[in-house]
Amino acid sequence: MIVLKEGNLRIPKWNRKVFAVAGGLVNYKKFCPEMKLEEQVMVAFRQMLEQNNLKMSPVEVKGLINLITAGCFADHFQDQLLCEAKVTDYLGLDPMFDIGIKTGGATGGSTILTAAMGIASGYADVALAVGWERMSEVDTRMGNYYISTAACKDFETRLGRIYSSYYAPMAVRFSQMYNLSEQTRAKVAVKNHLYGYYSPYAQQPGKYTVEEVLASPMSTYPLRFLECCAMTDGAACMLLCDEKTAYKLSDKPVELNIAGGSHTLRVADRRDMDIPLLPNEDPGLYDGMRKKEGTRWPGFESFAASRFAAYFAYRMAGIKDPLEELDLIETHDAFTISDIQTYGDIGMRPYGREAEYIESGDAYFGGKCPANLSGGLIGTMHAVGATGIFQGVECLWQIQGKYDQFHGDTKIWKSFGKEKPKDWKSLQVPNAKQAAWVSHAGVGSHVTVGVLKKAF
Amino acid sequence: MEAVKKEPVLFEGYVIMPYKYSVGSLASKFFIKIRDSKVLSGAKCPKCHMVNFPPRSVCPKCFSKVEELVELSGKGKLETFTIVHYESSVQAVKPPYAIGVIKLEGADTAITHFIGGVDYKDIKPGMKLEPVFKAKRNANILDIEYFQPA
Repeated sequence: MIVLKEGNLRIPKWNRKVFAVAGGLVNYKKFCPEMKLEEQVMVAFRQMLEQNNLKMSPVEVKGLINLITAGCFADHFQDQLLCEAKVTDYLGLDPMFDIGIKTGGATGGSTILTAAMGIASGYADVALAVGWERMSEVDTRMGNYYISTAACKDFETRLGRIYSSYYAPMAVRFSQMYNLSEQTRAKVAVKNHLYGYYSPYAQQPGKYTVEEVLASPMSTYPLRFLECCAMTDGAACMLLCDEKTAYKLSDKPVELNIAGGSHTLRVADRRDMDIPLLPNEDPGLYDGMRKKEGTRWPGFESFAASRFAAYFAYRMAGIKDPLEELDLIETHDAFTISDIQTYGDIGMRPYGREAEYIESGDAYFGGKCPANLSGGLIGTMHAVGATGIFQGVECLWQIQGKYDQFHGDTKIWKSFGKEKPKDWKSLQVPNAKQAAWVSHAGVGSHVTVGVLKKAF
Repeated sequence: MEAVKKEPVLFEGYVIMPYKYSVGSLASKFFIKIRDSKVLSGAKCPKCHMVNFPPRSVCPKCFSKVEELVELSGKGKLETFTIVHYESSVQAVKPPYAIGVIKLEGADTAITHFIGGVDYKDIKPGMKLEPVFKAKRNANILDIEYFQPA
């Protein structure tokens, strides 16, 4: 059993406040041959500088940046290490210091966390968090092969060579322990493909039914293809600042707290530990569950790294009851099952009751705390190094009241060569004040939870 | 831009990367035991008695040096599983194939491996399993061909 001490559980504390003011995305697609990687990053960078109503010109804002955190997971896809140096140069930011960040699927979240550390410590007043991935540079099966090496090579990688084969056993276990139906899983896929339908950025928009999801081909039992995320070419950017600069640059700054957790790469090696409680969970809540024979926490049902990230981030942000106080969340729905598992980790429901978050309607637009209005990874994108930044940007725009500006503008749809659907509808959460997002890697090896709070 | 959209220039290359890595001091003993004796073993911490499987040469809990490998029966209980249908040229076996997470008797954690010798529709969490070893073994985890019902 893993035993944690006081120091391990110390709540992170910024030395000064950190703010997010602007974000930039691209037209996410499976294959983007018309642009090279740096050009695609430039599209996101320019949207961030030009379309976010900043009170200084793009060139002036660029002149404030003195730290770049650059997220990319698989730069070996392009036969190119130290790709961040090429991107920094291309964005016109030489010779500002860039740090390459690599934490698998959580790379985007870790990239923002590192930029936030730069602001909070005083190293920088303005930092750029930028991430990208070009999954098309190897074919899909080769991509799966390389990405599946983010498992234990001694004992696990050689068996699977397909990432869903690490998550599918969790789905079997979770369904057995917590009585989860495949219909509930399918509802997550239906919801996120649908929300992708309203987004010009989305790679996999779709109006599916639960029956259609369940009738789609089996990838790894019990997960079907429509329950799995996209593989994407894409980039994303977020601009972070200290308090003074944030108000100088924007009328709508948003305060950021973000923390992370890590856990073993080997699924089978998850040792039992006490469940760290979220602020709204009473001691004793899980006593009954813990006494059941054969249970270990996090077992294969949950993600210790997500729980720890939420444990820290909620306390940093002063959140007492996440479901009540958050107006929306973005979760890492690489697979329907991992999405549902996360609901317990971040306190949308106590462990064992995750499915209720979907079945109650809370997770839908108009519900108590809607999830993945962006379309998430299933509907919109998973350009690995950019994903956690894309999620954060979607939360930022919601709090700034800019969902329509960035999703409903016909010009944006047209610039991507797409037609805005005639039945397009706004997914702007009215008066959104606080949002959280989960950036997740491996089989839960690295997770960040970020909390954005309205500061205007 | 229209011309580029019609005919983007793509450079096609490939990376050749043969590699080797050390599996570690105690794990070398572990794999040799599988290869030479068809025996699975765990690393027992002399101080806190935790049995690490796969073995580690330093106990992650108390930092004691671990030199002793204790033999395990190899028998275990299936905790969860999947059946892989997705096919690609880089897999060790051709789909469909079953992968299980198996908690071994006497170990504190589990092992992931193939399940075989059973109709896939009969695979149930909780079933007892035992390893089947390959005839030709090379001191790696694929020396176990699969786990079958015990």
